[in-house]
Amino acid sequence: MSEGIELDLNEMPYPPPENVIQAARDSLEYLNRYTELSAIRRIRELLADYAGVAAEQIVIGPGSDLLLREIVLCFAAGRKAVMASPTFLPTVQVARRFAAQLVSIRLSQPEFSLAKEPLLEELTEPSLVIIDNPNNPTGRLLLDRETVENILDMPDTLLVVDEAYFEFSGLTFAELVAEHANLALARTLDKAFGLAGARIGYLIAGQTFLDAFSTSFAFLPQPSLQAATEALLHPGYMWKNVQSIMHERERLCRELEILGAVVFQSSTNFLLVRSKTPSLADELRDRGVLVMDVSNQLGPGFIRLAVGTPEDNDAFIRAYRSIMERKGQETIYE
Amino acid sequence: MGGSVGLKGTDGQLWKRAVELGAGPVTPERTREFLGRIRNRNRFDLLVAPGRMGELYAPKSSQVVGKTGEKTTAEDTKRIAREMVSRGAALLIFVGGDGTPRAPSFLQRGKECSRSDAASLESKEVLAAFVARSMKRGSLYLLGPGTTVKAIADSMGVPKTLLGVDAMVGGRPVGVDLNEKGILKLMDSYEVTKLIVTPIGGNGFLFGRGNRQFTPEVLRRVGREGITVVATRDKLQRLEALRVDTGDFALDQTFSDYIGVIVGDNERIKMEVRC
Repeated sequence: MSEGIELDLNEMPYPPPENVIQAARDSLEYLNRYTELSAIRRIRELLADYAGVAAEQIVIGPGSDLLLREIVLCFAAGRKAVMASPTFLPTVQVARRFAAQLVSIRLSQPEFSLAKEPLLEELTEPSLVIIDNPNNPTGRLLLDRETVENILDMPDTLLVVDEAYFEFSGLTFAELVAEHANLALARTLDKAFGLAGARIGYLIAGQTFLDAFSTSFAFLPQPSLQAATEALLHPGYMWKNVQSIMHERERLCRELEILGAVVFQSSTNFLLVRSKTPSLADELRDRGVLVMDVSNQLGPGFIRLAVGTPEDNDAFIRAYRSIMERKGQETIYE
Repeated sequence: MGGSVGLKGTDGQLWKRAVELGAGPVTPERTREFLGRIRNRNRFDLLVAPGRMGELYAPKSSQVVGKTGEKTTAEDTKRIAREMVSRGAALLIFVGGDGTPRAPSFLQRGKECSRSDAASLESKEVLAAFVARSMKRGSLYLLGPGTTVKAIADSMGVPKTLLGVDAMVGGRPVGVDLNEKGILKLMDSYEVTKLIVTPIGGNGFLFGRGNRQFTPEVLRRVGREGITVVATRDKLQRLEALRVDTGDFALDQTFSDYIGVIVGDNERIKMEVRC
């Protein structure tokens, strides 16, 4: 692992609890065997129970990003892909390559909202709409129930909502999936559950998506599956960490604002920050703090940082303050 | 003032030429409109350049900065702007001529001329080829300024001025560096006119900066549906929104919505347009 403070990939900073690590460890002695079907069935049931849907609606895969990729590969060839801009880049890249057309709706600044009408106007031909809610990298919720229902009512339109940060936003459209064959939600255990290294993603899928995935079957690695199963059996640890992260997120916001940064309201475990220093990500890296430079999506001075442990966040604030103090001196002596 | 008659500014001798071509000053009206929209005017000091460069159109309470001869030049603008900054001006507003503040020495950080790195170049070539393939044979195409629009002409082997408005039909040039009069005359000869533009400069102006040959009359005749906007992804991602400022507020408002910008092969980004 890197020796720096890693706030660049929106990971949970807390390691899994001992029971989850032990479950993964126990599975190692069976690595000569394929994962048992009963273990797959078990995790689908646990995920269904957790999401409040039927087990038949759950599709599991090695990371929600790869499930989104599969959806694009299955459906985008004859369709217009419609997304927000900015959004999760790997999905854009695969849509750019495989969709018949790609249309992105630029989020309206400064609040980074998604305008509904320009989006609906595009859905006059077969379409695949993929929206991350909350949005990455802005952290904002883009969709409400009315907009989702409007999209779902458009003819020959499929909607995929990426709910990777659901545990932090508290907003889901899971209750709509049973009634809408054209809706799927992509989720992950990478973020709130802190199992990024296990790579367990899942879809809560309407019938159209279930049909497409009926012939594919994911034999997920045993250690990942056992760790995920144990984590789902004891979700209290995850919810406690989510509360800590949200508490730290508000503290980080306040401290950054005092230092003159523009911090955008977030419904996730990360913050979008705008400063007057275009090279901020590089300068933080020089001080041992890794954050994501999102200037290529939003312009100079924008960074995205995951909320870390209180110690990580203090280190970030110290580094940020030292950069700003040096900039202040440069301005004075210029 | 020179924009509508195809001149890139009116400094020095160009002012006389602009008048000969029928251009009228746009600054007085635009200054009045701008000042009329400012609230709480008593809460800040207004610094203005002397004479026709500002003083004549500003309230009497304004402070005049610097001196000029009878004929003004770009050097006057630069010198007076610097003096304003040294006297504590927090914000510089240029009304009318947009050529001088777009010069590199005046660009603020984050506002820049077109980027020319390898990715941007490749992206331009892809979108240029896509737009060229989409062009209809019998239509008149008016190509605005900018390197992205020039890339379309380049991909078709047609000469294109970088800063002017040029015209082509069926992949052949039919007008070079046109002014408003030339554009309207050409439009009379063709049933369908299409206009291809790219956001100008770091502030994302579709109309009203650097392409004033596209006057309100030209734009009304072309209609919004006849306008194709092209840009590299790289450029769009640095913009909050696109802007229009044709000097005709009613016309500007017809653009206040989202517009699709072609950024690649079968790829569009819908951007908000503000006026």
